[in-house]
Order: sequence, then structure tokens, then C-alpha cells
Amino acid sequence: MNRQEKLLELQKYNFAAYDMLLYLDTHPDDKKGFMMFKELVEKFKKLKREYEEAFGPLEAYSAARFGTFKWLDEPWPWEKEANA
Amino acid sequence: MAENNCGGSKPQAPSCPYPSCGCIGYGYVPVQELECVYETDTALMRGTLFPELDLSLGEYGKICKRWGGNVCE
Repeated sequence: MNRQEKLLELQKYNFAAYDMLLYLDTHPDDKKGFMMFKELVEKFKKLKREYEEAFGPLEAYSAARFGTFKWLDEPWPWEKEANA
Repeated sequence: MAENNCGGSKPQAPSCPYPSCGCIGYGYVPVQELECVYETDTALMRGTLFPELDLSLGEYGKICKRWGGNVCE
């Protein structure tokens, strides 16, 4: 997967996990819903780690996981060059 | 105490059996039940993970979830 495809995959799981979170706000005891939420979050975290290892940190705090401070490396995730 | 013709005690609010009826004077939104969910790519495109919430503007408001509605059954 290239950077664009990886980022889109990340967005899909981020969106799905968040929507399930909103459902759980009103259904906190829904076990099936909670299981799905856990799966979605696990998958999101895995994809995020893979993305960051390949393309650098997506958020500033992730920069702490690297050997050197990469947060200022061009381009930032939201910049045009990172989404071309 | 406001006067009423209920022999002094205030009438009990009608019981509200889940989920078919709403209490008088109360706004009522049927509780969502987790049925199936979209695949993640569909969900991102449709803007929701839940098919039952994926309503175009034209559909919104016309569908009554289980009593007389034309979707979700």
C-alpha cells in the first residue's frame, strides 16, 4: 500500500471506531457493540503504527517513539505534499 | 398544591412500555438497536457505520422504524 492508500485505510477505521464509540455513549452495556469497538480500535492502532513506521509520525506525541525527533520532517501529514 | 379532580393524588403518568409508546408530552426517539454494520469503506463513504442511520434527506422523517415504516424490516 502506498501512503495515500494507507492513510485512507486509517481514516476508515478511525471513522468506524468513532461511530461505534458514539453508539456506546448511549448503549454502554451493549456487549456486542463493545466487542466491535475493541476490534476497530485495535485495527486502527495497528494501521497507525504501520503508517508511522513507514511515513513518519501522524501526531506530535508519536514522534516520541522514534530514535530521533522526526516531527519537523517535511511534509506534515496534513500538507498537500503528503497527500499528493 | 394545584387543584385537580383526581381525588387529591396526582394521576400516575401512563406506563411507557419499551419501545412502542412515548409518554404524553415527552419527545421520544426510538432507541437504536445494534443490528448489522457497514464495512469500513462503505461506512466512510456513507458517513455512518449503521445502515439504519444512513438516510437521505428525502427519507428522513418519513420512516417509522418498525410500525408502518418501509425500511428495516
